[in-house]
Amino acid sequence: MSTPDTGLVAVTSIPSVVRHVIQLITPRQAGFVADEHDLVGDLGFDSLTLVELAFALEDLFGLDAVTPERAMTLRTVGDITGHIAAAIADGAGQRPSAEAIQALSAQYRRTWNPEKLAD
Amino acid sequence: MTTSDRDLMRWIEESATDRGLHFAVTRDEWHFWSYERLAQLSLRAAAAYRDRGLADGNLVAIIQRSSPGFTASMFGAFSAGVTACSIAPPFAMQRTDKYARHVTHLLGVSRPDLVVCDADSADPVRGPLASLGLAPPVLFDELVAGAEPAAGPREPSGTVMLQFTSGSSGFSRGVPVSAGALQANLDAMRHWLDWDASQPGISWLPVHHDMGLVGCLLNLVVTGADGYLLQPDDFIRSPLRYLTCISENKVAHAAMPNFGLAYIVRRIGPDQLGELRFDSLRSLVVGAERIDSRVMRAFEELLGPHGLDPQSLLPSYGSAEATLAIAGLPLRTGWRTAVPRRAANASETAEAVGCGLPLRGITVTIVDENGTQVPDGQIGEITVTGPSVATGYVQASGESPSTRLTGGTLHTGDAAFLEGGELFVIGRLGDGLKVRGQMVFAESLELALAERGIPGRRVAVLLGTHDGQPTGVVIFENEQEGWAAIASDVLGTALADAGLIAVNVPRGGIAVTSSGKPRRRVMWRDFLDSSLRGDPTPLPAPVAPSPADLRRIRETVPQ
Repeated sequence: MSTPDTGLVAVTSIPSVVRHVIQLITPRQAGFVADEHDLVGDLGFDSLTLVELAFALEDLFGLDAVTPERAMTLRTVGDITGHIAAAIADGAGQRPSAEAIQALSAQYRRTWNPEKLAD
Repeated sequence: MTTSDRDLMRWIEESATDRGLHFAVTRDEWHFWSYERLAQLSLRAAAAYRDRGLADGNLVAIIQRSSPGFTASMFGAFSAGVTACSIAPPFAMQRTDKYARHVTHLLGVSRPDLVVCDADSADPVRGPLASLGLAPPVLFDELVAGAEPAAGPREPSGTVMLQFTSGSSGFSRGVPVSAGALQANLDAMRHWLDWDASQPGISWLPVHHDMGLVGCLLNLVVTGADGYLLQPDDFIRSPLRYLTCISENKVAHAAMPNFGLAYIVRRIGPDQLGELRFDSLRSLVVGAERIDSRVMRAFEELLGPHGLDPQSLLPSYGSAEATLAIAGLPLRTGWRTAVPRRAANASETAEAVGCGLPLRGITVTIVDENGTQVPDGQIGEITVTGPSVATGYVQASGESPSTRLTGGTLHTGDAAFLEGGELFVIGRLGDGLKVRGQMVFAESLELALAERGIPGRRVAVLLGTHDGQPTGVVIFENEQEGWAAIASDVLGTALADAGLIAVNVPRGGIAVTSSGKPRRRVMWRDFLDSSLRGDPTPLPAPVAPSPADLRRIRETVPQ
């Protein structure tokens, strides 16, 4: 019999999952995605792809939409992972299941490799 | 039913109960408003404007999302004889400072006598309105509260709308649209698409740009056809919802810019289409920016197996200065590409997608630098005359921009050639590029470079289509170290996938006017002719910093 937590990724894996989602959508070829990367300046996100990313993360982590004031402060990859980790800690977001992450990755014709969690 | 010309307010008189607009709400629900219900709301708005003392010659700025309220604000203004100006509310993720700057510019040009907002859009405009000495905004619900519908619609005359041309703030200009111009363009589009009230349409486009407002919403309502309306965010979140709606409701007409097709191809895999069918689509108008034949083919490949008729894809060309539509591919023709057979030099031989024939009542002429008509197959500037062309801009700017309205003729600043009567649009003549349907002007990038330390008189930016590719050219006068990296960053961020080229010229190598402004059209011609005083070299595409770079940044920048 499965427990409610079965299949959900560990809290410590959240930043890695967020970076994976960013990498699915980033317009610029990036071999890797780091906390210091600026979404617009380094990764080439524009208004369309920022909205696309926001929706993908909201859906995956069960988040509310951010206010424009808050959105202005989310410039780097690290800002995003911090925001989501805090939301989950506050109960304003949920850990996604491995299945949900794979489904999202499949939409972008990619797969998610959980072994990469050991950063 | 046959296609016929229809007065702008006839749908209000008809007050259909079995047709109307379906607004996407929540993730999967639709909210239906019959045309009868929308007519009543519009007549209440018309009465409310009158009650507030608005009359002919006044202007209302409408800052609302696509909604029943937006529709009523627009048509209520038409009926009350008040000029309507649709301005975008802030979109998700937009920086509040950038929005404030942009909306302040638009409000400063339009100087509205009244501003109508949604709950979400009111707060961001309070500051800009106050700074301009204009009255605070009124919520739509407040506007119509207690208003009894006007007795009936009045057919509008005079200036019905103020449209803003594409471009970032400072570069966007106000175009007054007369009732005659709007009527002529809607009738011409309905005639082109053979569209009658029995054929449903769909749109996700914002209602603050000409294609989404005039091409989609106004066309739908004035024609009296069922319309399915999504917000741009709905489409970005789930392009599959948009496609599913077309299939389930047997939608006949749709429209979007090239990047919309590209987004669908990127997000939707063949395995996600299931049993969806697109046989019902009679027209999918593609416009607002350069059309990429590879994107068109990829879209056909994706939806063809599900009944999409390739002949339904209708490339088109238009301009806010001409109300909207100038040329479009006729039905049942099939789009094609062509190369200019009288190209002046080798770099102009790339193929372009045909945008069809001028619409009813519109004349398109291709001219050279002296305004003389050029023969078929030769590239020149598109000029347009016809009843939907505006007579001028709201404020004559001090500049001499490439797009001009003089004596009833629109000089578009766009390059094209005619072949067999069909218009093949290439792009601009050095001053701008459409990116995601929005104009980016070379001048705005020069300002951005100046902010990053490259002196204005030592750099010029040229933007246009070169070898069939959107291209940004940066001309440096005696290039200094670090300039290429800055240019790569600024242009790479602003121009999406455009090719980037740098040219280093000696002192005096940048052609300027007597007042020091870059002569972009001349330099663009020189670039195409390979006669700039330096060798074009590719600017490296911006890449995400590597781990080594990031370590270096971490070490040198105080945390």
